Amino acid sequence: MFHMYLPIAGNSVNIVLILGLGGLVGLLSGIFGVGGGFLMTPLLIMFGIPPTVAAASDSNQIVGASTSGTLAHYKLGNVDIKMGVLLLIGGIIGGDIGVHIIKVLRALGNADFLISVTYVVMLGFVGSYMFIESLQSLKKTSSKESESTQATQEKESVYAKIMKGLPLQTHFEKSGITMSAIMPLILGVFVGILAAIMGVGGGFIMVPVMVYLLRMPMHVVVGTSLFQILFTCINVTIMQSYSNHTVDFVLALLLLLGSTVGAQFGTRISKKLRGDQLKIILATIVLLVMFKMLYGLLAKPALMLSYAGGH
Amino acid sequence: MKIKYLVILLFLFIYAIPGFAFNHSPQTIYIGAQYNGKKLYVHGELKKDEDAIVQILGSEEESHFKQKGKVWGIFWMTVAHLNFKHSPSVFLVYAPPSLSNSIKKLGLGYETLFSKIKIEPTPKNKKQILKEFLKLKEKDKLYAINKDGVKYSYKGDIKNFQAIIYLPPKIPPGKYRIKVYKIDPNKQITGIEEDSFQIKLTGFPKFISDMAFNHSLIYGILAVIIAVFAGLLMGFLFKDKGGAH
Repeated sequence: MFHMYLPIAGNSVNIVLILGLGGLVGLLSGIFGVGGGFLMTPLLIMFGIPPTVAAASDSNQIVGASTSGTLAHYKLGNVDIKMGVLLLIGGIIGGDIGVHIIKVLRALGNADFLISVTYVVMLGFVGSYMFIESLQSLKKTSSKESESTQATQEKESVYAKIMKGLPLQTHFEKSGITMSAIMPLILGVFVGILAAIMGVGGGFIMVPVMVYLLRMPMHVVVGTSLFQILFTCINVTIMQSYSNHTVDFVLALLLLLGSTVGAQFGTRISKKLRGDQLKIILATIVLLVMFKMLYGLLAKPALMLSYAGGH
Repeated sequence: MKIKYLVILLFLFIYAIPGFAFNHSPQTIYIGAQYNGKKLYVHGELKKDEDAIVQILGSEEESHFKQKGKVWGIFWMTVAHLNFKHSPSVFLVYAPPSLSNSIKKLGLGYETLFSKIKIEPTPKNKKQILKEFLKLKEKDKLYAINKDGVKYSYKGDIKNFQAIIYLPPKIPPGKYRIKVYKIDPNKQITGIEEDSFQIKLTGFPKFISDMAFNHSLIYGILAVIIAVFAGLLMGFLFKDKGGAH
């Protein structure tokens, strides 16, 4: 009862469990306003979906989840198309590189290891950063604020010099910034590779990149990030389907259904809670997932053999 | 001329051996959208003092495995690729409790199976590798020895046996052999009968699998188009930004 057979994963899953998983990640996404894709793949792996199938199917799910968001932000004028296209070109190149890396590593047998290590590093980085930042903002005093502003300004001047020295300076009207077109291209490649390897849209990496490295205003960041993520994941889904046959469409659709409903409840809950406290809770969840995956890499596995090559 | 008579005699002799035909149902198992493992019923007749052991065997294919080991003294990761030859995809043995200690002696257990399996490249610790292989297969319920798997019922002089075989969700589609061994009171095999059944994908899983493996580009594009429309529909229904990204 309530089971559905996943032909690509080669196993049957409890529909309620998968909907619940999608719902839970969607709920977190709605509450915290950040992507939940980076949590979805490890959770799917924990529930017995092969890592490569989990990552690829999650990309497919993200296509659906980011479609409506992109459209809504586009209507509000929050999408910097020029910046988005540059990030997208970089993302597509990065996505292709990532898919081929996975293919080569699968042949060598290390794809699952790479996915796990990438997760541990990225979740550890994002989780720690969020945790420290939200702790600081809770404790922040006005004097410390001014000190940090001064330090930031010093750093900014060095960074700005490098940025101005790069060729192909372009003005991005929607974002109100001028910088080299090479920057978003390189950053797009970086996020694209991660998106392909991890099966995430890259939102949780792209948003800080846009804010801190590209210096885009926050409202444009969210819309442009979604725009870039949508197209990056379209590319990753098609590439994974074509090259590795790892996209389980049934799984993706179930997750999409759960996450969209969960996000609605999350959005409502978030309005009633304080931002910094929420950030700390999310950072804790992220770090817990990271430690679980790290444990998997460090602890002696229960089974010393695993199936190679998937299906 | 003598040979002719001998052949006729042999035929008569074979014909005269009492059969113990067994039946199984269903003949074909379909993996549909709601498949979560199925039961296969195997039943037949025996003499009063006889026992039966039922074996289910998947096709012998070359299967590939990754062996984990410690690297850099910290991480557990793949250290070798191993090819297993002559290992059936499924190996299920169902026996009555009275024969629980005789499976190995009769050559119907894992030991006989393992002697046939070839591993390439040959590992130093083959015994340990086979132990891990068994753990993996048993975890997926693809290999099992059920020592209380054959039940008997009696009707006069006729002894009926029945085994209810559990076929797990992870069982791959394909052709499977059913072997029924007749065991005498001296714990000797006195007869073997064989039949087969099929496991096939059907309906939606078949369509998805065909598309994903035979038309992968179209499948990828369709997966994207459907996800986009599903996302738009969800956004329209909830009038919000959708889910995780």
